[in-house]
Amino acid sequence: MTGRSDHVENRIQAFLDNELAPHEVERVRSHCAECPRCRKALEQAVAVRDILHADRNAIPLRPMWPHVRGRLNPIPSRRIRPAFALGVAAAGLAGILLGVSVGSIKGDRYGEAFIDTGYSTESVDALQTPATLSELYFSTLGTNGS
Amino acid sequence: MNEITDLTDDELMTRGASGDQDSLRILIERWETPVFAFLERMLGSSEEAQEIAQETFFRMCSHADRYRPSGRFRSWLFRIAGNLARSKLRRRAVLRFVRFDTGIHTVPTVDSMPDHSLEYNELREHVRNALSRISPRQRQALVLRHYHDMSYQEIADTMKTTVSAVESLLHRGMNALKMDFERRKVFP
Repeated sequence: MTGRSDHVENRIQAFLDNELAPHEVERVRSHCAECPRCRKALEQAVAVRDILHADRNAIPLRPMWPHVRGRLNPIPSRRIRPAFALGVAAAGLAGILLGVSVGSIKGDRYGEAFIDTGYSTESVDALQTPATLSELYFSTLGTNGS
Repeated sequence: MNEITDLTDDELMTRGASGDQDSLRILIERWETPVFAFLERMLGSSEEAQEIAQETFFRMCSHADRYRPSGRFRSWLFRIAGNLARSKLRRRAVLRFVRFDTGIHTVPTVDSMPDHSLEYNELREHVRNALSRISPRQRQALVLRHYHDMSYQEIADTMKTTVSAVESLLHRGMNALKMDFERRKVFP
């Protein structure tokens, strides 16, 4: 008869998982044949295992590789890079300077007109709209030429 | 000559470490379902499992040069996934009260359903909720054992612990599940 001190409840999981040495397998098996408490523990462990195994594996929501590849080889950002922004700013500044120098030549040519109409260079800049500038230009021509 | 898909995990990792992205892609395609399934049970959320699985594979690729081929790729990969999952759980700060989502991804055939009065989805919900109520380390050991068929030695390698500690985790985890199932009358 197996003594109660030999209960094998704490080895039952390993027994079910085939993780015990052969002599221990035999000990658990023979003990459970005689001990109602350990036999019940074994039956419950089998039931828990069956319930666990009834749950199927889930599948990924999306393939993983495209995401990982994107992080391994990051696509260059579409943000304007500082060097590019500097180039654009330099080009803009060059354009403004060119415009001012042309304007000053025209201003020299039609200097009297500016004086006549009372528009200063600052006030022309402040108008900002090409239509107004052209109106101003033709108005000065008209004043000067006619 | 072997196709690249016939190469072992170790061989693919060696190629991946030297910059062969095809090898890394094949490894990911080979392992994404098991890793996702593991994380989904650890975290109880499909979206979080997807996020952490992607992070796992990114680290696998970016640290490929640190891997030493020894036939233990699965342990190495699941260790990364397990560490990330436990970090995620710690960040949630509600370790024992994780709410599991109920999105169903796969439905078993009638033949594969166990002989229980509970419908499959209800049973699945019981299992997932019960898993969420045990400690993350017990859960990790149980999931690796029961859903990934790992030996105690492999689980010990994955969790960086001893075989006897794994046996203890599994014993306590299964007991906790048994009591949970009894309390909720999942089995007679």
